[in-house]
Amino acid sequence: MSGTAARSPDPDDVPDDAELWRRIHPQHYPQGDGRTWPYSAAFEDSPNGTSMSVFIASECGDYNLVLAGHLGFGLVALSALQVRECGLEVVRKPMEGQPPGHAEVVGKKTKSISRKLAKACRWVVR
Amino acid sequence: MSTSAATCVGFNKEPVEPVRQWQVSTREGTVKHTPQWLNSLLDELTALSRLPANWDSYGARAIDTQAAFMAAKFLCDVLREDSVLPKLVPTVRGNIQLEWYNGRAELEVEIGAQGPLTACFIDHQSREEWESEITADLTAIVDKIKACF
Repeated sequence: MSGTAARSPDPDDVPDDAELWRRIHPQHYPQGDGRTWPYSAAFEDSPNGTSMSVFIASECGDYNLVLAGHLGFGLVALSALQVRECGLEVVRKPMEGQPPGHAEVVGKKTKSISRKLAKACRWVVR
Repeated sequence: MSTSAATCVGFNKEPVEPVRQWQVSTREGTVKHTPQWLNSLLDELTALSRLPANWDSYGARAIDTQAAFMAAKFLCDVLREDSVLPKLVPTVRGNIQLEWYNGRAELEVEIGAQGPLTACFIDHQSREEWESEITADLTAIVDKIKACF
C-alpha cells in the first residue's frame, strides 16, 4: 500500500514521523510460536465507541507515564506514517487524567488492518 | 478413528453441553479418551474467562463465557487428535480470537457468543490472502487448518 495514496487529511496534522505509543496487555504478547509482534487483537477500537488510544511520544515525554498504574503491561511504538499507510487517521484527543499527548487512531480496523499495525509496531517495553 | 458425543466438564462452573470425545478402535476393543490439547484448551479458556472488565485498560469487555464455550466447541469440531492448539487471544469485545501461525501461514478466527464471526488468512508462500465474515459454511477455514497447521 502506498503511503501517499492512503494518506487522509488529519484534523490535526500530527507529523508523519511522530512516534505513537500504545500499551499492550500481556495477553496480547506473542506466546512462543515464533512471532515477535503482538497479537492483532491489541489494535482495535474500544467497545465503548472510542477509537484506538495512543500517546504522541514527543508530547507525552516519558513512557512511564503511559504505563503508570498498569503493572505488567508492555508498550509498543508506531509512527504516524505507518498508521496512515493503513488508511487510518491520527487525531489529538487530550483527556483529563491521562498523560499529555493522548490521541486516537481513527478509521475502520479490519482484521487485516489490525494485523498490519501489529507487524509494523516496535516494542519499547516488554 | 471415529468420534462420539460425550459430556465434558467445562471451563465454567457447570458441565457444558456435549463436545466430541475421541473413540479409537483397537484389537482389544474401543477406547474412549480425550485429545491431548483438550485440557490445555479448557485451562486457557478458564483463565481468559477470569479477566475482569477493562482488563486491557482501554475498556475491554470481560470474556463472554458463551463465546468461550463456542471457541471450545469449534476447536473440538475442527481439530484432529494430534493437532496443535492455536493461541487463544481475548478481544476487546469479549470474544476469543484463535490464532494459528507457523511462519508459512497465518490464520485468525474470531469466535463470539453465536460462534465463528470472522476469519483472516495469509499464506506467505502462495501469497493467498483473504479476510471474510463467516457464514454457516466452515469449509474454507477447516480446509486451511488441515492443510496448513
